[in-house]
Amino acid sequence: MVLQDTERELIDRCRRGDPDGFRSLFEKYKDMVYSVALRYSGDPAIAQDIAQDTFLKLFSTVGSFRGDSNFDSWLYRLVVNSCFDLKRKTRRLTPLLDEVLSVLRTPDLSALDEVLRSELSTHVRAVVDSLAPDQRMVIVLRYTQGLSYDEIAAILGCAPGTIASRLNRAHKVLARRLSRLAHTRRNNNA
Amino acid sequence: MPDSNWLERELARQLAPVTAPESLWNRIESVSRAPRRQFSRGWVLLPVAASIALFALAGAVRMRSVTAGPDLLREQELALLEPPARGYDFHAAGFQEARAWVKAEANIDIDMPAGEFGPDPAAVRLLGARLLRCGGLRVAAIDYRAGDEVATLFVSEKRAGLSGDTQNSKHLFSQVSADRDERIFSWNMRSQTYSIAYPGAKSSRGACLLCHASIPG
Repeated sequence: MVLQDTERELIDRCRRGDPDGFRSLFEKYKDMVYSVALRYSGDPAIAQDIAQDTFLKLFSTVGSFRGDSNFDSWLYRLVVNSCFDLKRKTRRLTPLLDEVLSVLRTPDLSALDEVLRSELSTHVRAVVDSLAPDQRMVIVLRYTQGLSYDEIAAILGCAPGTIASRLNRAHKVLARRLSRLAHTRRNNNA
Repeated sequence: MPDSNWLERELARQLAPVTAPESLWNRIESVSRAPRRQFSRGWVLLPVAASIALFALAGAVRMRSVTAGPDLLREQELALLEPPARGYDFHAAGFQEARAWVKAEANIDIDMPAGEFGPDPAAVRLLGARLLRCGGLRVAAIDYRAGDEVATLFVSEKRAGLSGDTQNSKHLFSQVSADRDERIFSWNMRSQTYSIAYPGAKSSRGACLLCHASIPG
């Protein structure tokens, strides 16, 4: 069954304009919507804008939702579109990278690998922010929501092979940028 | 290093789901109950505050007190112009592209000040354009992000008899009003009404950056 009974009931209540129905639908999906928005944008204020926009769209269009498709996918599409519409602030990669590199050049650190892993972990988020929007969204849907390639493909309207390719490219970009930091660090501590 | 397992573990850890803030529902409820761009009629800027805002906005301009004349896009009308759930009619990469689309679709001109050729992409990012009907009047809405704020420029089609109408690019502001988190500036120019809704609480300079590369003051 594509639509579970509880979801169907909720949606029917929303169609009838029941305020409690809207609230229940919000409670059921708020963490999912906000998580995608926050992990995509990297900014709590922008994430709230995106979540607000998504729920307003949901409430105004839920009447047109047909129960023969997957509600979760439909809602994911709303939040993904809101993310792409209300994009994040200007990119912060360049200054952040400068900052990171200056930290990594600090000469008095020991236990190189341990510290290095810690530094890299700290800056994974910044490197994710630097990805192209379509790659970043695939990463978020995969790692924040744990969705399969097929599910991501259905949400983004492309083939599973395209998702695999984007994810692969994103992994390579992340690995390359983080490796560059690691390499810089090693050289400066040699 | 980093190996792929390490990277996947880090991604899963750092991008883990989070709990939505408690305030989110109140925020959504308040927006769905009352239009975001509704503002109190009584909260019209005092002359001093208005002067500061205007000097910050465009330099040497004149201001009149607020009058809800028939030639203005009134606040109730502006409240109807909220971005619709359906999204934008046109996703523009740049302001010139958006202007051309508005002209082609609705024959609405969006005038630029002499010597200006569009916003600095580093300061302003176009989000999209919409065409609306407001009390029988066609209106173009251009949404853009300036700094941290998303602003909207509304431009009406031409019509006769507007008060304070100017034929040059100087803005004779016919309406300047604000509430806690939104300001609206309106002026009539070349038989069209221009309005900017801008949520900047501290400064309104960002509102001007769509058309003005630099703002005095």
